[in-house]
Amino acid sequence: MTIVGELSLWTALLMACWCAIVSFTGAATHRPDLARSGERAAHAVFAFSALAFIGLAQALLRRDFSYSYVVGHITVNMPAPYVLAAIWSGPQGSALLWALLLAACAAVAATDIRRVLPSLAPHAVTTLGCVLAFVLAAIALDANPFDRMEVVPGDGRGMNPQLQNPGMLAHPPLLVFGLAATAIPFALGISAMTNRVIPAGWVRLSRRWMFGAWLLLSAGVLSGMWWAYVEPGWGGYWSWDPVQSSALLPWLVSTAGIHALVAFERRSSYSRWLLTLVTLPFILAVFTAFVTRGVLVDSIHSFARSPMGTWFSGFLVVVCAATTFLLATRPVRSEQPATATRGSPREAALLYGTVVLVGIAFSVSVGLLFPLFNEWMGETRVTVAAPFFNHVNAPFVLVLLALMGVAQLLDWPASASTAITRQMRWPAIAGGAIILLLFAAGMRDVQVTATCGLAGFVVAAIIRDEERRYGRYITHAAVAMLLAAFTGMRFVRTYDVGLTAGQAFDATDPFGRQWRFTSQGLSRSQYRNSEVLSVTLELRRDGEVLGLVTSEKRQYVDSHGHPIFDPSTEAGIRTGPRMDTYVVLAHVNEDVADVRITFNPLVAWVWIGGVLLIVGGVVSLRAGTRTVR
Amino acid sequence: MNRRFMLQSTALFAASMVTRRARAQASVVDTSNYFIMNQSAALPVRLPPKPVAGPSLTPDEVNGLERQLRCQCGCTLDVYTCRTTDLVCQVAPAMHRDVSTLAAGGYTSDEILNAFAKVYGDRVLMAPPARGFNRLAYALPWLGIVTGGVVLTFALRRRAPEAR
Repeated sequence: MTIVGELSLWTALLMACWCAIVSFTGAATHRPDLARSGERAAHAVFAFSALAFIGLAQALLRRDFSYSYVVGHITVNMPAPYVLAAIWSGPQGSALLWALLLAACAAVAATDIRRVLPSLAPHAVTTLGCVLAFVLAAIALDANPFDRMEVVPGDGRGMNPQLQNPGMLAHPPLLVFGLAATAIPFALGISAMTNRVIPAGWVRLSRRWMFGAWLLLSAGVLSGMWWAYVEPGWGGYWSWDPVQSSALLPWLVSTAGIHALVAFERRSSYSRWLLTLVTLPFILAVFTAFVTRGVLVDSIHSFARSPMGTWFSGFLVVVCAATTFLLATRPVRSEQPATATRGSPREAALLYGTVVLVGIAFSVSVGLLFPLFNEWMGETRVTVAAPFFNHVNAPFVLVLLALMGVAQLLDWPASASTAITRQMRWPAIAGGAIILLLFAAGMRDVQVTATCGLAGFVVAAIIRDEERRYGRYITHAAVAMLLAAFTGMRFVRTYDVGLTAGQAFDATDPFGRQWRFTSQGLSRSQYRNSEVLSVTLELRRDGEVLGLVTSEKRQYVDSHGHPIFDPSTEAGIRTGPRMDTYVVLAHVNEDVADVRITFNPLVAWVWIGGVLLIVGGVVSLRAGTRTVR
Repeated sequence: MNRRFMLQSTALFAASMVTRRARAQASVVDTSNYFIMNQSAALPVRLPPKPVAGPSLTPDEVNGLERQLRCQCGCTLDVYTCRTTDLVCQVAPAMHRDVSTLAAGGYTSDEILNAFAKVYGDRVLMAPPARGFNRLAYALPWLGIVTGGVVLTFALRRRAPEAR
């Protein structure tokens, strides 16, 4: 089966080339039979990519150490779920996953676009065929997961310990799926520019695909945050790691794109800005792949580096140049009927929102690329990490929140200023009341007070709105909740303490409550593929016993019991509605466990907000799908 | 070109590529999975204690200061997070010792950060100091957003087409 998979990879590459060439010829010669052949080729690419994927999965599950990829990513004694997840634990495998998911999107979209917009389908399928051909060529020629070993070893080198977490089963596939799905709006944008027209129906189709990509990116980014929180033991969910930050870029611009599509559907204006926002997420997805796989920036994700970084840099240049050329030289006529009048206040609010979202994405890009730019300019090397991103983006986030609230209250037809003032009265009072309450409670942090006040303003504005768009309400309330919950991390309180068995440590949390942590001692245990050293603490809050929390250091071993990789950390977390109690075993000196205890306020609300964001997204997507049908 | 010819050519191409690659066997294991730590990256940051020396920073302030310094082992973390998470890193504990010694010697946060920047360069700071060319990094996001806002304001006033 593995050899079938290997053969299928090459066949998929050929089919992708066929898809691109035949669709392009079909478009140029106006031959629908060739266009249909291109569509069928897109289906074939998916089928062969799936076979290649299954082939690699089988090589891993059979622990076939004649393949270099299998040797590099698993051991004999690794649990089966992680063996399967090893498919995307390396750059070659994750690129194959990307190709598979991209092919799946392309196969569905090829038929979808032909059904809704037959005139644009050949150019859209040509674009998708070119993207598929590029990804498959990069895999087949420079990151082939089917490379073989000269000498077959008895065991492999294993998977990076940070990846051996349940998050590994969800985060990479979701994020890669989201990144791959951005190719569909990109293809729709390119086909609109090539044909110099935005037909009626294009906006709704683009919005549905863009929303799908956004939903997957949201789930991917959020699951990555959860993983970053529970696995490495750093104590936070967002560290502005370059790869983490680069994954945020397509999400931000997709969010802007969805809002631009909503505005365009009503007003049918600013088509060039719309097409920029529809095509940019895919360009940024390629940029993310380049940052993840390249060697230009230092990242915790350095395990994903591969020669594909060079491929993606070349592809990024080509895609940017082609899109810029089309945007600059192809004026596009809109056939979308405008239903809102000139000077629509909601359109203005939505468009200002897109500018702020793209501005935040630009600010993140500046932070990512500034160290390189600095070096190229002959300056000394600098680090751009969390303090810079937090400092620069904080005011933009406040502006975005204010616009979010205002946009909920504005109408599509131009209203009298007195009506707008009347609409805003209660939300403004609600936001002001929250600020006053926080101030009365002793809060003097301007950023926190402003964020919470504006979040309250957004929620109150949603309640005042009478359109009954539940998906939109839930999504915007979730964003307000997330942004308010993020401010909790400004009040993190940390204690470093060495504890022997039976020894207790008293601490005060950010809410002024007294905690006692009593060590239950160190314990060692042996598992199939790891040796675990753990410390357990009993937790008491204001005298009441709350339970036990355990933090571990895991040393992974191969089937011969030899250590592989450095020890990794498993944090012990007790979640509560106000805050998390986060325990990390830092070091062990004989029988003394050096422990870091952190109180992380409002973390639970981040996860609740995240779940609500996905729920709201699903509700909106379902409503949008019904509208397209 | 008929369908049979195309399928035959595809199969032949795929088989020949697989055979060619199978002959050129990989002799090395894929090691992209591994992070190599630079354990010798710590440099001494030493200054003589101030004459009327007393500890200038509380332990919490030392931790806060270490969050502004980047560990040089290659992990991308700040010194505090690395030394309290990574069992193996020897760089973060060495940097922590230097911070503690300087704090015990009566040096303030800014003086300690400057001392580190002098030895390691600005890359040791978690954010570029807002001076010289670095100011561009702080100014560009504002410039981008303000320009976008101004352009949109003009466009909204001048270019909006009438509803059909």
